[in-house]
Amino acid sequence: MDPIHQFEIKNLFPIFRIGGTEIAFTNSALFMLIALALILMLMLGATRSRALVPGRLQAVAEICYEFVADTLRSTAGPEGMKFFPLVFSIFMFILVLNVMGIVPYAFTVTSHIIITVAFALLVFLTVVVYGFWRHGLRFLKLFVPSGIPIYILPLVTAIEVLSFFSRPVSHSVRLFANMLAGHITLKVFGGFVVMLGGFGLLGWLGAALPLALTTVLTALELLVALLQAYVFAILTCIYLSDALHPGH
Amino acid sequence: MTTSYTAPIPCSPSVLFHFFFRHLTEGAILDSHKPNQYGPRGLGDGIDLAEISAGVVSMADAREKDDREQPLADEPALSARLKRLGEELGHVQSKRPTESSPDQPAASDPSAMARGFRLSTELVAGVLVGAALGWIIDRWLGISPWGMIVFLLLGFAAGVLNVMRAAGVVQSGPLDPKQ
Repeated sequence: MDPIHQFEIKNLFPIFRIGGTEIAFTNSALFMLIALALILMLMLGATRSRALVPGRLQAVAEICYEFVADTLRSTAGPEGMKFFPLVFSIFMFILVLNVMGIVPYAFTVTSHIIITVAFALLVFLTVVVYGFWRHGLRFLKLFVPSGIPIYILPLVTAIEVLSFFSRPVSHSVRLFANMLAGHITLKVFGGFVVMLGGFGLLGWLGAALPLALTTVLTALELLVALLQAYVFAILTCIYLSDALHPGH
Repeated sequence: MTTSYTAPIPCSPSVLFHFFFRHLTEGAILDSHKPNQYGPRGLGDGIDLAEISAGVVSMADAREKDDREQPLADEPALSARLKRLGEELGHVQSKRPTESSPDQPAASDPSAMARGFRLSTELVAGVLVGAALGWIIDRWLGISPWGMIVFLLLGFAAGVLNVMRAAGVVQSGPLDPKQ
């Protein structure tokens, strides 16, 4: 009945200890491994035949590839394709984790902010490191717009810096909050069905309403799961495009 | 040198054709009566394979019976049918570009929903980062309310800037590769 219970991390078995902290294999890690296995199976199975006219599995893999490649090319330009492995891995991993979370009794890995923060920081640090490595100090021009009067420049630069640092926050919170809120809503309405069902015939009639709503919400959750993976990928592309072309 | 070989079963080409086509359509390989359309959208959905095969078989039979003895008796009917098919094809082709037209997004466009989600978090993220930075600077330099005040305001401005950039109201400014 507890709508938060589904997000609980359970230790399945301990792996090793660092200092006083036990590092255990959790259900979160288990579902990440399952997602990894699913993606590997899809990709290896799809590319095994390498047919000119694709079969169903190969068509799925080709659609995923074309989708990410088109997004990356249109936002970061043709040279953005050097980041294709990163963007494709992030997109597929988040997509599979999100969709797996809708399955009843499954654990939603992306509903934990530590996971999404790790993804967002990976992208953020890639942008910073690659930007400084490629452009050196010219990367800092990102924060200094041209054609602005000198007396207002410090203010604008401060705002730009804050805007830059707010990126990983919004990047990670968006995915985490969407998954968390959606799954809690589903659980709450599912709980209504069970509670009303305990009140006899009238309760059964009343329970039809939240049941219908749960059905609709499940479809909406599927849409949100796909959409958030897409949004995360496209924002990754936009941020990487800044590392490639830091202005002027 | 003559061979006195006679086939144990009749295996003229037409019989073979019948046999294999039956075999193909009735169960062995294509097990569905109405297969899903896999191809261009204009071809229509659900071509009935059995119907096609029946037509082919009857055509083959007709060719065996009266081979070019009578000229096409139903020539006007055929030309009318061709004309109708051509009209249908033209109709389908003229309809195709409007179906995938990107100019008019549907009301339930999922990317519009994605933009909505994005805008809401951009503002909050800017304010939160400003507040956090202000708090850290206050703790660090001991200028208690001033860091929070200044950076909360700056963070709010950054959040608004984020939202306007995400909505495409302002150009991406220094981040815009086109400049």
